[in-house]
Amino acid sequence: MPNVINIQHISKSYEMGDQTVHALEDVSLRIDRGEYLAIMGPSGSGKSTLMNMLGCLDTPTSGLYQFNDANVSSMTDDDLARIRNKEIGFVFQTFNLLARSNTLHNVELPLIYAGIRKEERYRRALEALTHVGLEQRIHHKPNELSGGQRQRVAIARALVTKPSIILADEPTGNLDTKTGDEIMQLFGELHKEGHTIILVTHEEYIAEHAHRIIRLRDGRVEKDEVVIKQVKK
Amino acid sequence: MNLKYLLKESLNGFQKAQLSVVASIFSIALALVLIGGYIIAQTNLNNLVSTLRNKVELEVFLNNSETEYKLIKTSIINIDGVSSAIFISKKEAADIFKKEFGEDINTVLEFNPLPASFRVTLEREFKESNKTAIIASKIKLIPGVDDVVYRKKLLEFIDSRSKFLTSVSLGVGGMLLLVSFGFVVNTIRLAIAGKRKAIETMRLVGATNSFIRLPFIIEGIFQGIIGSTVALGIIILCFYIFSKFISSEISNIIFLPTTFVTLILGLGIFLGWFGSYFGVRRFLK
Ligand SMILES: Nc1ncnc2c1ncn2[C@@H]1O[C@H](COP(=O)(O)OP(=O)(O)OP(=O)(O)O)[C@@H](O)[C@H]1O
Ligand SMILES: [Mg+2]
Repeated sequence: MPNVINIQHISKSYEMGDQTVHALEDVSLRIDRGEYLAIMGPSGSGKSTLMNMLGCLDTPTSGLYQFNDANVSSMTDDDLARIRNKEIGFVFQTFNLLARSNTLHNVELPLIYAGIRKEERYRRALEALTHVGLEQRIHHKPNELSGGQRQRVAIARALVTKPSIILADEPTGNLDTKTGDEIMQLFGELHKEGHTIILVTHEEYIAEHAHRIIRLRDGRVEKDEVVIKQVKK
Repeated sequence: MNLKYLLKESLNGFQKAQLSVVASIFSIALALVLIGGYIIAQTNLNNLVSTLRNKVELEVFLNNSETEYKLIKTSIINIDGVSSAIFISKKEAADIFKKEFGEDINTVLEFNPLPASFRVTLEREFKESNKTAIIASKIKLIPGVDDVVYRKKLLEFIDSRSKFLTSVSLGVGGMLLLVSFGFVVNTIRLAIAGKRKAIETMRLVGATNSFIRLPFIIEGIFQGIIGSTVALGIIILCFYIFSKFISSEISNIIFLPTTFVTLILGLGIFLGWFGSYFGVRRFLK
Protein backbone atom coordinates (compact mmCIF):
# COMPACT_ATOMS: atom_id res chain seq x y z
CA MET A 1 0.00 0.00 0.00
CA PRO A 2 1.55 3.36 -1.01
CA ASN A 3 1.85 6.06 1.62
CA VAL A 4 0.32 9.34 0.59
CA ILE A 5 1.99 10.95 3.54
CA ASN A 6 5.15 9.89 5.30
CA ILE A 7 6.53 12.18 7.98
CA GLN A 8 9.51 11.17 10.08
CA HIS A 9 10.73 12.91 13.25
CA ILE A 10 9.13 16.21 12.39
CA SER A 11 9.52 19.16 14.73
CA LYS A 12 8.18 22.67 14.49
CA SER A 13 9.19 25.44 16.82
CA TYR A 14 8.44 29.13 16.94
CA GLU A 15 10.83 31.72 18.34
CA MET A 16 8.90 34.06 20.58
CA GLY A 17 11.41 36.62 21.79
CA ASP A 18 13.94 34.69 23.84
CA GLN A 19 11.54 31.78 24.26
CA THR A 20 11.10 28.83 21.93
CA VAL A 21 7.67 27.31 21.56
CA HIS A 22 7.77 23.68 20.47
CA ALA A 23 4.48 23.29 18.63
CA LEU A 24 5.45 19.84 17.34
CA GLU A 25 8.17 17.54 18.63
CA ASP A 26 9.45 14.41 16.93
CA VAL A 27 6.20 13.45 15.23
CA SER A 28 6.29 10.46 12.87
CA LEU A 29 3.28 9.39 10.88
CA ARG A 30 2.39 7.38 7.80
CA ILE A 31 -0.95 7.84 6.13
CA ASP A 32 -2.15 5.48 3.42
CA ARG A 33 -4.32 6.21 0.45
CA GLY A 34 -7.99 5.82 1.36
CA GLU A 35 -7.60 6.32 5.09
CA TYR A 36 -10.04 8.29 7.22
CA LEU A 37 -8.03 9.76 10.02
CA ALA A 38 -8.91 12.03 12.91
CA ILE A 39 -6.40 14.16 14.79
CA MET A 40 -7.46 14.96 18.34
CA GLY A 41 -5.96 16.68 21.34
CA PRO A 42 -6.46 19.51 23.75
CA SER A 43 -6.18 23.12 22.67
CA GLY A 44 -2.61 24.10 21.91
CA SER A 45 -1.46 20.51 21.44
CA GLY A 46 -0.33 21.21 17.87
CA LYS A 47 -3.26 19.95 15.78
CA SER A 48 -3.47 22.97 13.51
CA THR A 49 0.30 23.14 13.26
CA LEU A 50 0.41 19.53 12.10
CA MET A 51 -2.45 20.21 9.71
CA ASN A 52 -0.67 23.21 8.17
CA MET A 53 2.43 21.07 7.80
CA LEU A 54 0.55 18.23 6.12
CA GLY A 55 -1.16 20.79 3.89
CA CYS A 56 2.15 22.30 2.78
CA LEU A 57 1.08 25.68 4.13
CA ASP A 58 4.04 25.62 6.44
CA THR A 59 7.34 23.76 6.50
CA PRO A 60 8.79 21.87 9.47
CA THR A 61 11.80 23.15 11.41
CA SER A 62 13.37 19.71 11.11
CA GLY A 63 12.44 16.23 9.97
CA LEU A 64 11.40 14.53 6.75
CA TYR A 65 8.12 15.01 4.92
CA GLN A 66 7.33 12.93 1.87
CA PHE A 67 4.16 13.50 -0.07
CA ASN A 68 3.45 10.82 -2.69
CA ASP A 69 7.16 9.93 -2.40
CA ALA A 70 8.29 13.47 -3.20
CA ASN A 71 10.40 15.26 -0.61
CA VAL A 72 8.41 18.27 0.54
CA SER A 73 11.13 19.56 2.86
CA SER A 74 13.30 20.55 -0.08
CA MET A 75 10.58 22.16 -2.19
CA THR A 76 10.34 25.81 -3.23
CA ASP A 77 7.32 27.96 -2.40
CA ASP A 78 6.03 27.52 -5.93
CA ASP A 79 6.33 23.73 -5.70
CA LEU A 80 4.39 23.80 -2.44
CA ALA A 81 1.71 25.97 -4.04
CA ARG A 82 1.41 23.47 -6.88
CA ILE A 83 0.99 20.59 -4.41
CA ARG A 84 -1.69 22.51 -2.51
CA ASN A 85 -3.39 23.26 -5.79
CA LYS A 86 -3.40 19.77 -7.25
CA GLU A 87 -3.07 17.32 -4.39
CA ILE A 88 -4.74 18.83 -1.34
CA GLY A 89 -8.25 19.98 -0.64
CA PHE A 90 -8.78 22.19 2.42
CA VAL A 91 -11.91 22.55 4.51
CA PHE A 92 -11.74 24.94 7.47
CA GLN A 93 -13.95 25.89 10.33
CA THR A 94 -14.21 29.40 8.90
CA PHE A 95 -15.04 28.18 5.35
CA ASN A 96 -12.46 30.48 3.73
CA LEU A 97 -14.56 31.49 0.75
CA LEU A 98 -14.05 34.64 -1.29
CA ALA A 99 -16.81 36.89 0.08
CA ARG A 100 -17.32 38.84 -3.13
CA SER A 101 -17.46 35.85 -5.45
CA ASN A 102 -20.38 33.54 -6.07
CA THR A 103 -20.47 29.83 -5.38
CA LEU A 104 -19.38 28.88 -8.87
CA HIS A 105 -16.38 31.19 -8.90
CA ASN A 106 -15.30 30.03 -5.46
CA VAL A 107 -15.31 26.43 -6.59
CA GLU A 108 -13.57 27.30 -9.87
CA LEU A 109 -10.78 29.15 -8.09
CA PRO A 110 -8.27 26.26 -7.78
CA LEU A 111 -8.88 25.42 -11.43
CA ILE A 112 -8.09 29.01 -12.44
CA TYR A 113 -4.73 28.73 -10.73
CA ALA A 114 -4.22 25.34 -12.36
CA GLY A 115 -4.65 27.08 -15.73
CA ILE A 116 -7.71 25.12 -16.82
CA ARG A 117 -9.91 26.50 -19.59
CA LYS A 118 -13.19 28.17 -18.87
CA GLU A 119 -15.60 25.53 -20.26
CA GLU A 120 -13.75 22.73 -18.52
CA ARG A 121 -13.73 24.74 -15.27
CA TYR A 122 -17.44 25.27 -15.45
CA ARG A 123 -18.12 21.59 -16.14
CA ARG A 124 -15.96 20.38 -13.26
CA ALA A 125 -17.18 23.01 -10.78
CA LEU A 126 -20.78 22.15 -11.57
CA GLU A 127 -20.01 18.46 -11.14
CA ALA A 128 -18.42 19.09 -7.71
CA LEU A 129 -21.33 21.31 -6.66
CA THR A 130 -23.82 18.64 -7.75
CA HIS A 131 -21.86 16.19 -5.65
CA VAL A 132 -22.51 18.25 -2.51
CA GLY A 133 -26.09 19.05 -3.50
CA LEU A 134 -25.64 22.74 -4.31
CA GLU A 135 -26.23 22.77 -8.06
CA GLN A 136 -29.20 25.10 -7.46
CA ARG A 137 -27.06 27.69 -5.66
CA ILE A 138 -24.26 28.44 -8.09
CA HIS A 139 -24.94 32.17 -8.36
CA HIS A 140 -25.29 32.83 -4.64
CA LYS A 141 -22.66 34.80 -2.75
CA PRO A 142 -21.40 33.26 0.53
CA ASN A 143 -23.49 35.66 2.64
CA GLU A 144 -26.60 34.41 0.81
CA LEU A 145 -25.95 30.85 1.96
CA SER A 146 -26.42 29.05 5.29
CA GLY A 147 -23.40 27.90 7.29
CA GLY A 148 -23.89 24.30 6.20
CA GLN A 149 -24.19 25.38 2.57
CA ARG A 150 -21.03 27.46 2.83
CA GLN A 151 -19.17 24.46 4.16
CA ARG A 152 -20.52 22.42 1.25
CA VAL A 153 -19.15 25.03 -1.14
CA ALA A 154 -15.78 24.68 0.58
CA ILE A 155 -16.00 20.90 0.26
CA ALA A 156 -16.91 21.19 -3.41
CA ARG A 157 -13.89 23.44 -3.88
CA ALA A 158 -11.73 20.88 -2.07
CA LEU A 159 -13.01 18.13 -4.36
CA VAL A 160 -12.88 19.93 -7.68
CA THR A 161 -9.21 19.25 -8.38
CA LYS A 162 -9.56 15.55 -7.45
CA PRO A 163 -6.87 15.82 -4.79
CA SER A 164 -4.94 13.02 -3.07
CA ILE A 165 -6.10 14.10 0.37
CA ILE A 166 -8.75 16.26 1.96
CA LEU A 167 -7.67 18.15 5.08
CA ALA A 168 -10.44 19.38 7.36
CA ASP A 169 -9.66 21.53 10.43
CA GLU A 170 -12.71 21.58 12.74
CA PRO A 171 -15.09 21.55 9.75
CA THR A 172 -18.14 21.42 12.00
CA GLY A 173 -16.85 23.96 14.53
CA ASN A 174 -19.10 26.77 13.31
CA LEU A 175 -22.16 24.62 12.62
CA ASP A 176 -25.04 23.40 14.76
CA THR A 177 -25.19 19.70 15.60
CA LYS A 178 -27.64 18.74 12.90
CA THR A 179 -25.84 20.58 10.11
CA GLY A 180 -22.55 19.26 11.48
CA ASP A 181 -23.90 15.72 11.23
CA GLU A 182 -24.90 16.29 7.62
CA ILE A 183 -21.40 17.52 6.81
CA MET A 184 -19.91 14.48 8.58
CA GLN A 185 -22.20 12.28 6.55
CA LEU A 186 -20.88 13.92 3.41
CA PHE A 187 -17.30 13.20 4.53
CA GLY A 188 -18.35 9.59 5.16
CA GLU A 189 -19.64 9.32 1.59
CA LEU A 190 -16.49 10.89 0.17
CA HIS A 191 -14.43 8.36 2.09
CA LYS A 192 -16.49 5.49 0.72
CA GLU A 193 -15.83 6.82 -2.78
CA GLY A 194 -12.12 6.41 -2.06
CA HIS A 195 -11.01 9.83 -0.84
CA THR A 196 -8.32 10.12 1.81
CA ILE A 197 -9.59 12.28 4.64
CA ILE A 198 -7.71 13.84 7.54
CA LEU A 199 -9.88 15.54 10.09
CA VAL A 200 -8.96 17.71 13.06
CA THR A 201 -11.54 17.85 15.81
CA HIS A 202 -12.16 18.44 19.50
CA GLU A 203 -15.25 16.31 19.65
CA GLU A 204 -15.14 12.56 20.36
CA TYR A 205 -18.40 11.94 18.50
CA ILE A 206 -17.02 13.66 15.40
CA ALA A 207 -13.77 11.69 15.64
CA GLU A 208 -15.76 8.46 15.79
CA HIS A 209 -16.57 8.85 12.11
CA ALA A 210 -12.90 8.23 11.39
CA HIS A 211 -11.24 4.85 11.20
CA ARG A 212 -8.06 5.87 12.90
CA ILE A 213 -7.52 8.42 15.66
CA ILE A 214 -4.26 10.16 16.48
CA ARG A 215 -4.10 11.92 19.82
CA LEU A 216 -1.62 14.76 20.32
CA ARG A 217 -0.43 16.20 23.58
CA ASP A 218 2.17 18.96 23.92
CA GLY A 219 3.23 18.54 20.32
CA ARG A 220 3.82 14.78 20.57
CA VAL A 221 1.79 11.81 19.39
CA GLU A 222 0.30 10.38 22.53
CA LYS A 223 -1.79 7.62 20.96
CA ASP A 224 -2.34 6.27 17.44
CA GLU A 225 -5.23 3.81 17.35
CA VAL A 226 -7.24 2.12 14.65
CA VAL A 227 -10.91 2.38 15.54
CA ILE A 228 -12.40 0.30 12.78
CA LYS A 229 -10.49 -2.13 10.62
CA GLN A 230 -10.26 -0.64 7.18
CA VAL A 231 -12.33 -2.33 4.59
CA LYS A 232 -10.05 -4.26 2.26
CA LYS A 233 -10.32 -3.14 -1.35
CA MET B 1 -6.59 33.92 -20.36
CA ASN B 2 -5.29 34.28 -16.82
CA LEU B 3 -4.13 37.81 -17.46
CA LYS B 4 -7.67 38.93 -18.19
CA TYR B 5 -8.82 37.41 -14.94
CA LEU B 6 -5.96 39.05 -13.08
CA LEU B 7 -6.77 42.44 -14.51
CA LYS B 8 -10.39 41.98 -13.56
CA GLU B 9 -9.41 41.01 -10.04
CA SER B 10 -6.98 43.87 -9.70
CA LEU B 11 -9.51 46.43 -10.86
CA ASN B 12 -12.13 45.15 -8.46
CA GLY B 13 -10.82 47.36 -5.69
CA PHE B 14 -11.26 50.40 -7.89
CA GLN B 15 -14.81 49.62 -8.82
CA LYS B 16 -15.68 49.41 -5.17
CA ALA B 17 -13.93 52.75 -4.52
CA GLN B 18 -13.07 51.64 -1.03
CA LEU B 19 -11.78 54.14 1.43
CA SER B 20 -8.52 52.24 1.67
CA VAL B 21 -7.88 52.68 -2.05
CA VAL B 22 -8.48 56.41 -1.71
CA ALA B 23 -6.14 56.46 1.28
CA SER B 24 -3.40 54.70 -0.69
CA ILE B 25 -3.70 57.14 -3.60
CA PHE B 26 -3.75 60.05 -1.18
CA SER B 27 -0.62 58.81 0.59
CA ILE B 28 1.23 58.52 -2.72
CA ALA B 29 0.07 61.98 -3.80
CA LEU B 30 1.10 63.53 -0.49
CA ALA B 31 4.53 61.88 -0.60
CA LEU B 32 5.05 63.11 -4.15
CA VAL B 33 3.93 66.66 -3.37
CA LEU B 34 6.52 66.76 -0.59
CA ILE B 35 9.25 65.23 -2.73
CA GLY B 36 8.31 67.38 -5.73
CA GLY B 37 8.24 70.56 -3.66
CA TYR B 38 11.61 69.65 -2.28
CA ILE B 39 13.05 69.06 -5.74
CA ILE B 40 11.76 72.41 -7.01
CA ALA B 41 13.08 74.28 -3.99
CA GLN B 42 16.41 72.50 -4.30
CA THR B 43 16.71 73.20 -8.02
CA ASN B 44 15.98 76.87 -7.59
CA LEU B 45 18.41 77.17 -4.73
CA ASN B 46 21.14 75.53 -6.81
CA ASN B 47 20.22 77.80 -9.65
CA LEU B 48 20.56 80.87 -7.47
CA VAL B 49 23.92 79.75 -6.14
CA SER B 50 25.34 79.04 -9.56
CA THR B 51 24.08 82.38 -10.87
CA LEU B 52 25.97 84.08 -8.07
CA ARG B 53 29.04 82.00 -8.79
CA ASN B 54 28.87 82.81 -12.48
CA LYS B 55 29.13 86.47 -11.69
CA VAL B 56 32.51 85.94 -10.11
CA GLU B 57 35.40 87.04 -12.33
CA LEU B 58 38.96 88.18 -11.75
CA GLU B 59 40.22 91.62 -12.51
CA VAL B 60 43.90 91.53 -13.31
CA PHE B 61 45.55 94.94 -13.15
CA LEU B 62 48.75 95.45 -15.06
CA ASN B 63 51.84 97.55 -14.49
CA ASN B 64 52.19 100.44 -16.79
CA SER B 65 54.03 98.52 -19.49
CA GLU B 66 51.08 98.08 -21.84
CA THR B 67 53.21 96.73 -24.64
CA GLU B 68 53.54 93.16 -23.33
CA TYR B 69 49.83 92.57 -22.88
CA LYS B 70 49.66 89.84 -25.57
CA LEU B 71 52.33 87.88 -23.76
CA ILE B 72 50.55 88.33 -20.45
CA LYS B 73 47.30 87.23 -22.04
CA THR B 74 48.88 84.00 -23.30
CA SER B 75 50.29 83.32 -19.85
CA ILE B 76 46.90 83.88 -18.23
CA ILE B 77 45.01 81.77 -20.75
CA ASN B 78 47.50 78.95 -20.30
CA ILE B 79 46.69 78.63 -16.61
CA ASP B 80 44.51 75.63 -15.84
CA GLY B 81 40.91 76.69 -15.25
CA VAL B 82 40.94 80.00 -17.05
CA SER B 83 38.32 80.14 -19.74
CA SER B 84 38.81 83.64 -21.15
CA ALA B 85 40.73 86.87 -20.63
CA ILE B 86 39.48 90.11 -22.10
CA PHE B 87 41.92 92.98 -22.35
CA ILE B 88 40.81 96.38 -21.17
CA SER B 89 43.19 99.16 -22.08
CA LYS B 90 43.72 102.29 -20.07
CA LYS B 91 41.49 104.14 -22.49
CA GLU B 92 38.73 101.54 -22.25
CA ALA B 93 38.98 101.68 -18.48
CA ALA B 94 38.48 105.41 -18.65
CA ASP B 95 35.46 104.91 -20.90
CA ILE B 96 33.98 102.48 -18.43
CA PHE B 97 34.62 104.96 -15.65
CA LYS B 98 32.85 107.63 -17.60
CA LYS B 99 29.93 105.38 -18.23
CA GLU B 100 29.57 104.44 -14.61
CA PHE B 101 30.28 107.74 -12.91
CA GLY B 102 29.28 110.16 -15.66
CA GLU B 103 32.53 112.08 -15.47
CA ASP B 104 35.62 111.97 -17.54
CA ILE B 105 38.53 110.98 -15.36
CA ASN B 106 40.96 112.83 -17.63
CA THR B 107 39.23 116.13 -16.95
CA VAL B 108 38.94 115.44 -13.21
CA LEU B 109 42.57 114.50 -12.67
CA GLU B 110 44.07 115.75 -15.91
CA PHE B 111 45.59 112.36 -16.46
CA ASN B 112 44.37 108.76 -16.53
CA PRO B 113 45.36 106.82 -13.39
CA LEU B 114 43.39 103.74 -14.32
CA PRO B 115 45.66 100.83 -15.18
CA ALA B 116 45.10 98.50 -18.08
CA SER B 117 43.56 95.21 -17.00
CA PHE B 118 42.26 91.82 -17.99
CA ARG B 119 38.83 90.62 -17.13
CA VAL B 120 39.37 86.89 -16.54
CA THR B 121 36.56 84.36 -16.40
CA LEU B 122 37.04 80.84 -15.07
CA GLU B 123 35.76 77.49 -16.11
CA ARG B 124 32.70 76.34 -14.24
CA GLU B 125 34.36 73.86 -11.91
CA PHE B 126 37.07 76.35 -10.91
CA LYS B 127 34.60 78.84 -9.49
CA GLU B 128 35.33 77.81 -5.92
CA SER B 129 37.19 79.90 -3.41
CA ASN B 130 40.24 77.58 -3.11
CA LYS B 131 40.68 77.04 -6.80
CA THR B 132 40.06 80.67 -7.61
CA ALA B 133 42.62 81.71 -5.01
CA ILE B 134 45.22 79.40 -6.56
CA ILE B 135 44.56 80.80 -10.02
CA ALA B 136 44.72 84.34 -8.68
CA SER B 137 48.12 83.70 -7.07
CA LYS B 138 49.40 82.13 -10.28
CA ILE B 139 48.31 85.15 -12.27
CA LYS B 140 49.93 87.42 -9.75
CA LEU B 141 53.30 85.78 -10.47
CA ILE B 142 53.14 86.69 -14.15
CA PRO B 143 55.56 89.54 -14.90
CA GLY B 144 53.70 92.72 -15.70
CA VAL B 145 50.79 91.90 -13.40
CA ASP B 146 50.32 94.32 -10.59
CA ASP B 147 47.36 93.02 -8.71
CA VAL B 148 44.47 90.52 -8.95
CA VAL B 149 41.13 91.46 -7.50
CA TYR B 150 37.95 89.40 -7.19
CA ARG B 151 35.05 89.04 -4.82
CA LYS B 152 36.88 86.71 -2.53
CA LYS B 153 34.56 87.14 0.44
CA LEU B 154 31.45 86.48 -1.63
CA LEU B 155 32.93 83.31 -3.05
CA GLU B 156 34.01 82.10 0.38
CA PHE B 157 30.56 82.87 1.71
CA ILE B 158 28.85 80.92 -1.08
CA ASP B 159 31.23 78.02 -0.61
CA SER B 160 30.83 77.69 3.13
CA ARG B 161 27.05 78.14 3.00
CA SER B 162 26.49 75.88 0.03
CA LYS B 163 28.43 73.03 1.63
CA PHE B 164 26.33 73.40 4.72
CA LEU B 165 23.15 73.78 2.68
CA THR B 166 23.97 70.76 0.53
CA SER B 167 24.48 68.50 3.52
CA VAL B 168 21.36 69.81 5.24
CA SER B 169 19.22 69.44 2.17
CA LEU B 170 20.62 65.99 1.41
CA GLY B 171 19.68 65.02 4.95
CA VAL B 172 16.24 66.55 4.63
CA GLY B 173 15.74 64.94 1.23
CA GLY B 174 16.81 61.53 2.50
CA MET B 175 14.53 61.78 5.50
CA LEU B 176 11.67 62.94 3.31
CA LEU B 177 12.17 60.01 0.96
CA LEU B 178 12.37 57.53 3.81
CA VAL B 179 9.38 58.89 5.69
CA SER B 180 7.17 59.14 2.63
CA PHE B 181 8.10 55.64 1.49
CA GLY B 182 7.35 54.28 4.93
CA PHE B 183 4.08 56.15 4.98
CA VAL B 184 3.01 54.81 1.58
CA VAL B 185 4.03 51.22 2.38
CA ASN B 186 2.09 51.37 5.62
CA THR B 187 -1.03 52.79 4.06
CA ILE B 188 -1.01 50.23 1.28
CA ARG B 189 -0.28 47.47 3.78
CA LEU B 190 -3.32 48.53 5.78
CA ALA B 191 -5.41 48.44 2.62
CA ILE B 192 -4.09 44.98 1.81
CA ALA B 193 -4.69 43.80 5.38
CA GLY B 194 -8.39 44.22 4.65
CA LYS B 195 -7.99 41.52 2.02
CA ARG B 196 -5.88 39.13 4.08
CA LYS B 197 -8.66 36.55 4.21
CA ALA B 198 -8.85 36.54 0.45
CA ILE B 199 -5.05 36.19 0.29
CA GLU B 200 -5.21 33.27 2.72
CA THR B 201 -7.89 31.64 0.60
CA MET B 202 -5.84 32.12 -2.57
CA ARG B 203 -2.85 30.54 -0.85
CA LEU B 204 -5.01 27.67 0.32
CA VAL B 205 -6.18 26.74 -3.14
CA GLY B 206 -2.64 26.83 -4.45
CA ALA B 207 -2.02 30.23 -5.99
CA THR B 208 1.71 30.89 -6.17
CA ASN B 209 3.02 33.96 -4.36
CA SER B 210 3.69 35.79 -7.60
CA PHE B 211 0.15 35.06 -8.77
CA ILE B 212 -1.29 36.43 -5.54
CA ARG B 213 0.99 39.44 -5.68
CA LEU B 214 0.26 40.41 -9.27
CA PRO B 215 -3.22 41.94 -8.85
CA PHE B 216 -2.00 43.95 -5.87
CA ILE B 217 1.00 45.19 -7.82
CA ILE B 218 -1.11 46.13 -10.83
CA GLU B 219 -3.45 47.96 -8.49
CA GLY B 220 -0.48 49.61 -6.79
CA ILE B 221 0.89 50.83 -10.11
CA PHE B 222 -2.51 52.24 -11.06
CA GLN B 223 -2.66 54.01 -7.73
CA GLY B 224 0.85 55.32 -8.35
CA ILE B 225 -0.20 56.78 -11.70
CA ILE B 226 -3.31 58.39 -10.26
CA GLY B 227 -1.40 59.56 -7.18
CA SER B 228 1.33 61.21 -9.23
CA THR B 229 -1.24 62.89 -11.48
CA VAL B 230 -2.95 64.32 -8.42
CA ALA B 231 0.43 65.38 -7.01
CA LEU B 232 1.43 67.09 -10.27
CA GLY B 233 -1.90 68.92 -10.29
CA ILE B 234 -1.33 70.18 -6.77
CA ILE B 235 2.30 71.14 -7.44
CA ILE B 236 1.50 73.01 -10.65
CA LEU B 237 -1.34 74.83 -8.92
CA CYS B 238 0.86 75.80 -5.96
CA PHE B 239 3.63 76.82 -8.32
CA TYR B 240 1.28 78.96 -10.36
CA ILE B 241 -0.09 80.76 -7.32
CA PHE B 242 3.39 81.13 -5.83
CA SER B 243 4.97 82.58 -8.95
CA LYS B 244 2.11 85.06 -9.36
CA PHE B 245 3.00 86.56 -6.02
CA ILE B 246 6.74 86.54 -6.37
CA SER B 247 7.38 86.79 -10.07
CA SER B 248 8.53 90.43 -9.93
CA GLU B 249 11.25 89.74 -7.38
CA ILE B 250 12.59 86.36 -8.46
CA SER B 251 11.73 86.18 -12.10
CA ASN B 252 13.87 83.19 -12.93
CA ILE B 253 12.24 80.47 -10.86
CA ILE B 254 12.47 77.29 -12.87
CA PHE B 255 10.14 74.35 -13.01
CA LEU B 256 11.84 71.72 -15.24
CA PRO B 257 8.75 70.72 -17.17
CA THR B 258 9.43 67.36 -18.82
CA THR B 259 12.13 66.00 -16.58
CA PHE B 260 10.16 66.90 -13.51
CA VAL B 261 6.88 65.44 -14.74
CA THR B 262 8.63 62.24 -15.81
CA LEU B 263 10.42 62.02 -12.47
CA ILE B 264 7.24 62.46 -10.42
CA LEU B 265 5.33 60.00 -12.58
CA GLY B 266 8.17 57.47 -12.36
CA LEU B 267 8.43 57.94 -8.61
CA GLY B 268 4.66 57.49 -8.29
CA ILE B 269 4.71 54.25 -10.23
CA PHE B 270 7.70 53.07 -8.22
CA LEU B 271 6.01 54.00 -4.94
CA GLY B 272 2.85 52.12 -5.93
CA TRP B 273 4.85 49.08 -6.95
CA PHE B 274 7.11 49.25 -3.91
CA GLY B 275 4.24 49.78 -1.50
CA SER B 276 2.13 46.93 -2.80
CA TYR B 277 5.09 44.56 -3.13
CA PHE B 278 6.13 45.06 0.48
CA GLY B 279 2.55 45.53 1.64
CA VAL B 280 1.52 42.11 0.40
CA ARG B 281 4.73 40.36 1.40
CA ARG B 282 3.82 40.10 5.06
CA PHE B 283 0.70 38.11 4.22
CA LEU B 284 2.39 35.59 1.99
CA LYS B 285 4.27 33.56 4.62
N1 LIG C 1 2.62 31.36 14.36
C1 LIG C 1 2.89 30.95 15.61
N2 LIG C 1 3.79 31.61 16.34
C2 LIG C 1 4.08 31.22 17.59
N3 LIG C 1 3.53 30.18 18.21
C3 LIG C 1 2.61 29.47 17.53
C4 LIG C 1 2.24 29.82 16.20
N4 LIG C 1 1.31 28.96 15.78
C5 LIG C 1 1.11 28.11 16.80
N5 LIG C 1 1.86 28.39 17.86
C6 LIG C 1 1.93 27.69 19.14
O1 LIG C 1 2.05 26.32 18.86
C7 LIG C 1 1.24 25.55 19.74
C8 LIG C 1 0.29 24.68 18.96
O2 LIG C 1 -0.67 25.49 18.29
P1 LIG C 1 -1.82 24.89 17.39
O3 LIG C 1 -2.53 26.03 16.74
O4 LIG C 1 -1.25 23.87 16.51
O5 LIG C 1 -2.79 24.23 18.48
P2 LIG C 1 -4.15 23.46 18.25
O6 LIG C 1 -3.94 22.08 18.73
O7 LIG C 1 -4.62 23.62 16.86
O8 LIG C 1 -5.11 24.23 19.24
P3 LIG C 1 -6.69 24.55 19.07
O9 LIG C 1 -7.41 23.30 19.39
O10 LIG C 1 -6.93 25.61 20.09
O11 LIG C 1 -6.91 25.03 17.68
C9 LIG C 1 0.55 26.54 20.64
O12 LIG C 1 1.25 26.58 21.86
C10 LIG C 1 0.66 27.85 19.93
O13 LIG C 1 0.75 28.90 20.84
MG1 LIG D 1 -6.29 24.66 15.88
